[in-house]
Amino acid sequence: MFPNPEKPPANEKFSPLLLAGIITRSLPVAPLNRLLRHMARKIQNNHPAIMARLRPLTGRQFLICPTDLPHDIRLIIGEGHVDCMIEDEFMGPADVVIRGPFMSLMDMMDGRVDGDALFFSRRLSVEGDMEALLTLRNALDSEDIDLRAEILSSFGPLRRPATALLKIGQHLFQSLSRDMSSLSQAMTKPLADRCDGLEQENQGLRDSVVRLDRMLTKTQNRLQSLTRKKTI
Amino acid sequence: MTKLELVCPAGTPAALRVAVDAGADAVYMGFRDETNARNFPGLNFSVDELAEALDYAHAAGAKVLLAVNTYATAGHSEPWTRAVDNAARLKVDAIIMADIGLLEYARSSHPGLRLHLSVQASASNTVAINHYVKEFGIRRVVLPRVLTVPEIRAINSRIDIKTEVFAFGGMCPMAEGRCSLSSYITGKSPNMNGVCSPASHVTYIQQGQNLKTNLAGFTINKFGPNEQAGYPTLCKGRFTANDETGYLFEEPTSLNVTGILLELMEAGVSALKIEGRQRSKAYVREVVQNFRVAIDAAARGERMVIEMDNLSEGGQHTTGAYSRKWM
Amino acid sequence: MNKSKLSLGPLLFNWSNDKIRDFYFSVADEAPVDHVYLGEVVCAKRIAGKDYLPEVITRLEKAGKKIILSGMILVLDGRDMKTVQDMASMAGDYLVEANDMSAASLLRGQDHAIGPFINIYNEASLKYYEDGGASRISLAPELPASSLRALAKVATSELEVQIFGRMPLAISARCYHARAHKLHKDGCQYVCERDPDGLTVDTMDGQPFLAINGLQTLSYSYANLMAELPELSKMGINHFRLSPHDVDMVKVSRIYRDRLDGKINLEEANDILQAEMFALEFSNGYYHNMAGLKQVGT
Repeated sequence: MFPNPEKPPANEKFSPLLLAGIITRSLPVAPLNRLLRHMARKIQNNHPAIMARLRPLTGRQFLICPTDLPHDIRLIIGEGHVDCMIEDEFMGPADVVIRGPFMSLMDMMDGRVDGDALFFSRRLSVEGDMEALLTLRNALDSEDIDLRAEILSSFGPLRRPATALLKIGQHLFQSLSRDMSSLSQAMTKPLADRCDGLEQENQGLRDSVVRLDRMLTKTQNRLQSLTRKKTI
Repeated sequence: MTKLELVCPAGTPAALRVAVDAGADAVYMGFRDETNARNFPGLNFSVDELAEALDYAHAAGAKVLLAVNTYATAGHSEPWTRAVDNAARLKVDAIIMADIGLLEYARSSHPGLRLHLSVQASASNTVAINHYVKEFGIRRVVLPRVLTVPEIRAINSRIDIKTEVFAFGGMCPMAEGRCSLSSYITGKSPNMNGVCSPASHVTYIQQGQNLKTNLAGFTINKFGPNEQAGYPTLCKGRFTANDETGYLFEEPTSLNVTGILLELMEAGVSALKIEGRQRSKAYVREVVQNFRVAIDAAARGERMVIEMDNLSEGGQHTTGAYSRKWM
Repeated sequence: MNKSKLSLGPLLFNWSNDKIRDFYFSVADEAPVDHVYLGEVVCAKRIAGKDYLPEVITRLEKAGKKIILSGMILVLDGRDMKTVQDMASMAGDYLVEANDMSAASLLRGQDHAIGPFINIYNEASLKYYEDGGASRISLAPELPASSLRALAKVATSELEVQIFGRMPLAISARCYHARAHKLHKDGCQYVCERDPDGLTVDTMDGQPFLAINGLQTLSYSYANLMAELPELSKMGINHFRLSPHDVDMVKVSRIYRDRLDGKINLEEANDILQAEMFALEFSNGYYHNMAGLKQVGT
């Protein structure tokens, strides 16, 4: 935990913003991965019924992308266990990609906010295997998980000296707001917009090629059937 | 006039607890298989979970209704009869069914089991409803979403059982239990498989800020940047007819009757059903709490409109067929 | 397969009185069908001003066709119920087909038919209607071969399957034809008259996939179970429904009859049908336990 005499609220009430900070770029990935791994283990031990609901997902990989943070999280469903880690560039493509603001993702996983409503309002975007995503969502929603509490308690038995984490925490607490704003600026909006435009145009062209191709096949079929008719 | 009964969805045990705690008079759910119309991955109850759910709900004075509301498959009806047997053994407060063969089975095998007629049976008139009453002793009918309030009033004056109507959530523009749109495109239907436009056939394509929804290879909708989206349900997509593209069948929208509770009570309706077993417990909590307030207000003769558009498809609501202008 | 019977299902579309009369006259005179279903099943509003029935029934009966009267699909109290009650009262004179539970209830205890809009997915449901006097049962297009086989195995009634035409997929209280023309159902101006085979519905990418017909939604593709006829016969299903369209139905029925009688082979039959229906798509996916729009084989 955070035995910081100067900031007692951090002890009692875990702020998800703190976690947001912990996942920021300036941190080494190794301790984050240990934290995530431990959290996943805790959830799987405390909620065996969830694991039963996740069974059809064995082998599936989810990529959770908080759009306002630099790190993405990879969730892998194993047989009777789940693995959770920071995404790195050597990992293969995931089955499902979920994108949204970090706080929205947290609230959804906690069962505080309805995921469908987030999707309707476009705050959440999803791609890939929707059946797998629904299974995961429904499984997590089937029990009362307090993600914040699970994360907080995950800090306890970490082998790394607590002081290291504490240092990180303090640093982050101080620089959090600055980091957050610089991060969102780092999303380089103009560039993203330009790419969007190009991608849209591309997709439009792809669509019309598919359409033309389909029409051509249909016409060919009709011609063939006509020719057949004439030769009968 | 008696107070409207609030019947709430439970896709999972956690949602059931949330619904009961938020003031549900009754909770409905299904088993984790094709015997119910929300046969979605990761959802629903095992037999053991249903037993626990009964304890939890009954301790709080809430009723438990089990939906076995799909149609049994020829040559493979065992899951359905087993679901009915389990419902009887665990003593659920009622079972909600549509399949006439299954109603016959329940009536003859478990005469003590209280039967509700599912909306999936599409009993839209007095003669049909009375037939189910006479033949199977059904005690309540969930009315199809094709009736106006005056039509509901007329039906209630001519039948002796209670009526339940949909109050909030997803709304089929088609008569329920009589729609094969989903299976025409995906091979899976509400009647046979308990799914409509299933997630397994859905693809979302982000094209920059735009979102394209695709069902089994067919483009169902395209949403512009920040445009409110809905489920990729076939009947709520944008299509082209007569060279014009738009919401031909229905817009992405949710039913919400908080504004007409007094009229529904006056029309003799006994119970309100909240749709959404596939929704999260956050949805269940908010909708049930709000309806609890609205129903209690209506019992005092007060009208209370609660929008809840933040939870609705397309961010908007409708009173659907209850108002003739919808048709 | 030559003991198999062909039937002409109820006309689903809102044709003019004269067009309907002429159509059934030609069916009476030329189409090799055994049974003809008559009656408005989609929308009670369409019945106003239509007086073809007596003439058409006389002509068809004179030609040796058996008449079956079809009831409405979606029945509300009032006008719809009146048409159902009127039809049920004719059960002594004609075989009447129930397409809603109200009609099935009124016809129970008498000889009657059950149409494809009444849900029969399993043996117990089939038996329920047979016990109530149904001697002829037309099954829903959604049923796969495995279900048809299981039902045929236990059926004591004559079973029928639709083998040609757009498949009915949904019914609503809302009129989609009126909606497509920005009209309300109550002031619909009978715009459904304009589309004798239904109004095509395309996706935003221009793929056609549905057709609307007033309150009803149909498949864009036309069912064609030509290739499946031998297997259906083997199951014991011997009644085959052709759903009327604004094409040469006399010719269409002859193709199926010739195929059933073994006068032409499968490939010939499908070639002639395809040439006749030049611009249209066929499907048999439901039968093969797939998406209904799929076309397997051929």
